[in-house]
Amino acid sequence: MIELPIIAPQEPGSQHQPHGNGSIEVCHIGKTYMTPAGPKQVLHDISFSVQPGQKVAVLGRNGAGKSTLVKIIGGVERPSQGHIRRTMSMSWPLAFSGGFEAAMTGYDNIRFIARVYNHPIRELIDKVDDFAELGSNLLQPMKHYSSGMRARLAFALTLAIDFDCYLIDEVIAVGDQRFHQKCHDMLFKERAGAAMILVSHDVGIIKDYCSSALVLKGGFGRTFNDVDLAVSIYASL
Amino acid sequence: MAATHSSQLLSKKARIIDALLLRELMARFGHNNVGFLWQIIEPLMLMVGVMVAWSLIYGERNHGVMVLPLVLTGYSVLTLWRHMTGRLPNTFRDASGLLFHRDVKPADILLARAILESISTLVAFFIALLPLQLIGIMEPVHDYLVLLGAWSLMCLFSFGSALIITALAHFSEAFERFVQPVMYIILPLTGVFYMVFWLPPAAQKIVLYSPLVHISEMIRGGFFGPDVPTTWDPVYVIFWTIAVNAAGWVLVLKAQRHIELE
Repeated sequence: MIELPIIAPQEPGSQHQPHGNGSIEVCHIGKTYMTPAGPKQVLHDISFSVQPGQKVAVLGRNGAGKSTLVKIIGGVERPSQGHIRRTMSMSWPLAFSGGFEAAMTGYDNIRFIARVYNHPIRELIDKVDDFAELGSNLLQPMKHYSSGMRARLAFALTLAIDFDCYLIDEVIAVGDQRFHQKCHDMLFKERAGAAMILVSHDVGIIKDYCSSALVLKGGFGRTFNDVDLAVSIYASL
Repeated sequence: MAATHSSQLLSKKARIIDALLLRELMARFGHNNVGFLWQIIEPLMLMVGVMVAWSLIYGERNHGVMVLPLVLTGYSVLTLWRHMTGRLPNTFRDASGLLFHRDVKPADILLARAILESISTLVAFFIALLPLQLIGIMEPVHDYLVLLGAWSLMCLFSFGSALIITALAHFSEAFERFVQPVMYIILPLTGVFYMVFWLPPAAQKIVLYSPLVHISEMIRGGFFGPDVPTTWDPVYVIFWTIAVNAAGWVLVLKAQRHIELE
């Protein structure tokens, strides 16, 4: 094992070497759901791309189509129109715990993820254990976990696997103050070279880290390279 | 080039299905006690229970056929059929959270569950069979090739049928409500409770339209050999198996495009 250098705290937005050399291209995505009241189009012709190391914000009020967009980018649901080209590896939504099996122990859930992502099991367990600090709780079935413990495990697991791009849906604040700080450091310092799609209401983080923003309103979207402008438009929606 | 690509894809699929299999086992039975042995003990209890009951009712033989092997072969077929068609259709509902792991497709989960059911029921069959053979209560299997051939066809046929039910239940809630009663009503068409030669010729003709009856007869043919008259046509079963699997896969692939989360 090579000892990893300790990364000194850095100014927000400082450039790490971006890793990965693909991209994620979202091309003219539309999504229509069938409802009892007839078809309802929740996304119209959304396009944007994410280059290696680029951090893209997605802004929008409730009901603007953010979570639908996350499900489509995440590959769970298919778009009704358009397509997505992923040539870099992308995470599942950060701290998403919906894939956990409540009857299984924390260890078994980690093992499952390791097998699915072809990651050495021992190494993943060590990394996650180290970060989430759940200790012997990992031997318990997850149905006995508090929501905070579950979130910590989910967060640690997503960040333990090296993706080119992280999909972050609303949940940067996980756990207590200390763990919150740890997550922040992990995400924006250690993983600073990774690309990110950040769906968030946290204007501060978006201004600090993102280089472009997609503003959604009523299922329509527009991309801005000036994040300050995007944030002020979002504030006026 | 194309060959290495598809072999990579295949090994990835195998890895995913392996992961799902272990997950399924862990989720159902955990690490405690006898753990995954329950997967085998469940069908085993049913088989042994019915074997005891039938022996008490009919004695050693029923219409000249040994009762114990009759029940054992019949109930292992029935267990597999009920588990496949009963457990697979819940997959899309149970597992939607898994789909954020993009390499995991709903079809993979179906396949993992089907493999688990197939293996565990077969193991239960042999666990019930071996001791009875060792103490001499049951005669040895006459032809393993026919028996295991029929078993494989049973796995594939019930998997295809389960795929169709899974997909249609996903599209229509009304259909889902019909599944349980219909499965119960068609139980006589599984052929597990009787031998075809016991029936009058007119009834034989009707039940022999059912591929499940052919499979049950074939398993018994493999078990008893020529001592007991059996009627089965493997080509007919293979035809049905291909048909239900083709229809099932088309429907499931169509249904998995329409999964909506939450």
